[in-house]
Parts: sequence; structure tokens; C-alpha cells
Amino acid sequence: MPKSNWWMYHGDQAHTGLVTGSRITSRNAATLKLLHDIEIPGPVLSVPAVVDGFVYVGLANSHLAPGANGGQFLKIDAQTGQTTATFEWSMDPAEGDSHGFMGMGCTAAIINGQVYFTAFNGKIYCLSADDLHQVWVTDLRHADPVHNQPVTNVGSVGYPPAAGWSSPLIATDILNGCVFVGIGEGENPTLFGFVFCLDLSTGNVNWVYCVCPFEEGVANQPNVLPPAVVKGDLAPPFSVGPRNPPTRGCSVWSAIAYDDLLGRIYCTTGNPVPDSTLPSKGFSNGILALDATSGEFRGFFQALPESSYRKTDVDVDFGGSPVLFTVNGRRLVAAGCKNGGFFVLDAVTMQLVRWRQLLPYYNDGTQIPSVDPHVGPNDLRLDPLVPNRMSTGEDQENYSGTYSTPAIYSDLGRIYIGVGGNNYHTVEAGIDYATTPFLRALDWETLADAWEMDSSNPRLYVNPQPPMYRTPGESGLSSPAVVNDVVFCSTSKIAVYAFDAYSGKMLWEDQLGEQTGGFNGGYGYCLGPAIAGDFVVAGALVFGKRGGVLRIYSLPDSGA
Amino acid sequence: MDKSVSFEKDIVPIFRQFRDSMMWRLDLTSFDDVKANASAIYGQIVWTPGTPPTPPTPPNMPPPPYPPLTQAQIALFKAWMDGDFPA
Repeated sequence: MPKSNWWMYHGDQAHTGLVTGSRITSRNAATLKLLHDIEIPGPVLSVPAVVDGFVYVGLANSHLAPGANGGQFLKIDAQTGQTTATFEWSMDPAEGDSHGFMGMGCTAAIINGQVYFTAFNGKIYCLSADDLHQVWVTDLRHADPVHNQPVTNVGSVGYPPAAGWSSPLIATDILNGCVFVGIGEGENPTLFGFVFCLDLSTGNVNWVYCVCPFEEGVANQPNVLPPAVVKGDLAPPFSVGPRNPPTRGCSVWSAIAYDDLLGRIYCTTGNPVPDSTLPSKGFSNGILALDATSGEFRGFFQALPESSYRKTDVDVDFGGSPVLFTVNGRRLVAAGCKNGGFFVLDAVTMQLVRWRQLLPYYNDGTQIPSVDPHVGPNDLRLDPLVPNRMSTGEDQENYSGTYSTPAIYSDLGRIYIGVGGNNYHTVEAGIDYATTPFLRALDWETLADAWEMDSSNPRLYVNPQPPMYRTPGESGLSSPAVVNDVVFCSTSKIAVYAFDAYSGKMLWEDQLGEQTGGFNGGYGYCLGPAIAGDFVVAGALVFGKRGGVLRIYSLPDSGA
Repeated sequence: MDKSVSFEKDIVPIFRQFRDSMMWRLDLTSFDDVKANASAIYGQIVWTPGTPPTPPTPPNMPPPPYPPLTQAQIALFKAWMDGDFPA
């Protein structure tokens, strides 16, 4: 079997989602077979990692933890399906995230025999890749002086404390090796968002950057901290800022991307507190560039007010990660926003090159009432139809934009990105399935749809039907991956698909499970498959079982 | 404290119907799981009081399409908690 590794979030430091070293193509994707359906003691709320024939995956909750309050990390032999090592941790239920998750929700990074991941307890772990014994752990929620970590970011009692959703980014070519993560929480009105750079070997903090500016419109300096998160005296390089930043939130939820030639990291940011329609305060709802070595500010772009599907859209985080790629010699960084906007920037200047709205319009350019409808909190209808004038007259979260990290297919010059939001809000399903494709294929120069469209109103993709436009509530809250001429994506159905990257025709599918209930409505996620060599690995949060499923697929002649 | 309320006799029959829906988080028929998360569960099933004429806000749990628990069921769960979680 050809050897390739999915060793960090979306496959590489640029988060391209592009797989090399695989024999999977449009000619054999239909023959993918289920190799293992692995029994796991909890749900998967992340994309697994696959390195040297082993799957590394964490659980969002573990039934093996006391009172089911904790997480578990597993190492699984992809060929045999046997779990070869595990690592567990417990949590106080009061310390969990706002949705009740106690484990982890990121893709681990595996390099040089060590595994790195963040967890909902606000800690970043480094384990031995061999047997998963702990090498170091650094607390990024509470000050951890042993690891040169001065920040205590817990905010007000009664709200969820800072948590780790951000998948670790590894860069071995600077400062003796670094791991970068974002830490924050969007549902706690008193928390700050931070970006941490830690030493790969020790877990000691190299620098920390507060994403909430001390003065609106003025970039923060690295290592200058809000007084509210500091207890006692600080040793250099850290210092206390002049005041607490007036804007909170701005959390970096997703994985940070790295460009080694520019020496920069790129972070997508969440909504501020207090929230507003665009433009919003602080380094919120945008893409932040920092110097990877020093943490110094290099640029920031915020989603344009006119990019929101409705001008009354609020809570328009960037939930997916930035992706870096090169077109005609120009280095670009791109990301999608919950407002439905998709933005391509010059990675050097951070100037906008091009943008488009991912949600559909009628052919005359007017909004579709059932897309991003703003309805009352007690309206439980699926795909509610309310007049445009009602939606544009009331501020509300856009549940239907994108949370997806795009995948890049250089050979075709295309970008693939999932469309549609979460399904846990009872007020909306997260996608208007009859008009909105759960996956878009874009020309990387024009951002125009690259798959054939029909002449209906609105225009629909021709070849991906079915499954597109068929299942109520089926959204692309996941990140696609490209392997040769095939694009894989998963949906909230909960299903995983392979499409012909050129035409959009569906080649293969599997149903992982059914949606389930949650504290706020419906849950049900597969955040995307990981692909390494001929292995396709997908985990999900589903109804029944112990809430989770983990499946490994492969081509039939892969020696299984 | 009401020691006459027991988990197996009174609580499991209420929660069993939601078990599969909530297995992503915990086993609602497991004494250990429910006891360890009792406060969180209570916070999710109880109605938030409203000041007239504003009506109370429906609880987050059980999830739709299940109707909210009745006041009697919520009171039973509270009594089980106040009774020091009899098995």
C-alpha cells in the first residue's frame, strides 16, 4: 500500500486537505469497503489523524470516565482494527464546555514519536506516540508557572471556562520546534481569546497573544496580558496591559495554519462579546496573521459587512480553519465564515483578493426567504419560510453559513468547501437543503461554481443529485478532503461521501448513524474523513450505541 | 429528605425513553452517570421562571420531539437529589 500520513488537522500545516500517496481514484472509489467498525466508548467530534498505519482519535465524552465525565484518546492499528493504547482523563462536570462535552474535539498532531492535542479542560497534552504515556501537559485555562504559562482565563462563575477546540499546529523549523493553539470560549461574556506558542519538547510557553485589543483599532503586542487574567507578579517577557480590553471573546476555535516561507501563522477568529452585526469590534470574525517566531501582529482581515447573507446576521464566527495555497505564484490564504462569505486574501498583504457568498440567491440576485431565515426562538419548524423583510429586520445568528475548512485541488485549480451549519439549534436546521448544496466546488481564481449547474431558480448542481438537495437538514458541517480526482466529504445526515472532483458525481457513500438529541436540539456530526494511503477513516457522534462510531475503509486489494 | 424515591423505581422509568438520544453524553439509566451529573441534568429539565405576563421558558431537555417533563416528574427528580440519591 502506498504510504502517506494525515499527521495533523486537514493533513498538513497549510490545511489543504490534499492527500498524496494514495491509490484511491474516481475509477475505484466505488469499491471502498468497510474494513473495521470499531466499538468505542463515546462520540467522536473531530477528524482523526492517521500516521504510519495507526489511527489516533479522541472522544468528546467517554463512558469509561467516572460518571461519563472525561475523555479518552485511542491509538488503533488501521489494518487490524485493534486498539493498541489508550489515555484517559476525568473532568468535573461543572468544568465542561457549554454543550456538555468533557473530552476533546480536535485533530491530534503526530510528529517525531509524539502526539499533541487540546482538550475541553483547557489543557494541551503531549503523549508518546508509542504507548500514549504522558510526556507533558500544560494548563492553558489556569496559570501553569512550571510551563511559563501566566494566564488564568476562567471568567465569570456560571459560564463555561476557556476550552481547547483548536487542533494543534506543529512547526519544527522555528524556536526548536513549536506547537500553536488557540484557547477561548464564545459563550462566556467575560473571557478573552488567546493564541499560544509552546515549545514542542517541554510544553513551556514561548509567547502568548491576546486576540482582544486593549485599544480598538490598535494591534496588541505579544505577551501583554489583560489584568483580569493575571495573578501576582509577572516575569519577562510577560507584562500587564493598561486595562482590560473592552471587547471580549474573539476566540480562535479552529486550527491555526502555518506558512514556513513567510514565517507566519494565520488564525480565524470568533465573534466578540458584546456581539454585533458586521463590522464588529476587536479582532473578531476574521483572519489574523502573526509572526510565528515572535507573535507580533502582521495583519487582520474582518469579514465585510456586505458579505453577510442578511445584514442582520450576528454571531458570524469563522468556524473553519484558514487554508494556504499558491495561484500563479501568489501566496493566498482563504477561509469561510458563518455569514456564508468565503474570502481569499493575499497572504503577504492580507488584502482581499476575492470573495463570494456560498449561500444561494434567486437568479435575479434576491435573497431566498428559506435561506438564513431569522425566526423566533420558539419556532420549531424545519426550514421555516418567513418573508425576507422579517429576516432582514431582526438580528439573529446565521445558522446556515459555513463551518468548513476548504480543501484545495491544485491539479484542477479548484476549492471544495462544506456549506451549512449546526443542527442543534431548535430554531433552525442549519441549511435550506432544497436550495443549498452541502458541498460547493469553486474555481480557485474566480470562485465561480466549478460543477455543472442547471437552469432552475435558484440554480442547482446537476451531477451530485442524489444525494444533494434531497435530505432535510443535511448540512456540510465538516471539512472535505481531496485524494487524486476524488473529493470526500461528510454531512450531518450522518453520512460520508466520495464525489468525482471533476464532475461532482457521487461515487460512494456510507451512513454512519442517525442524528440524536442534545441540550439545545439535534446533534449528529461527522466532521470529515481522514485519508492516509488507501485508508479512509471517519468518526461520528450518533444516536444510540455509546454515542460514537469509528469506521475504517480501504480499497479491497490493500492487503486487509 | 425523601428516602422513598429511588433511582431504579422512580427515575429510570422517566429517563429510559431518552437513553439512546443522550448516549453521546451519558447513560441516563446508569446510577453512577446520573448521580455524577444530577445538577447539570436538573438544570436542563427545569423550566426557567418568567415574570408575568412573560411565560416560563421551556427547558432544553428532553430534546424535541419529546415534550418537557411534567412538574411532577421534575419534582420527583429533585426529591431524589435532595434524598441523597437513593439507589
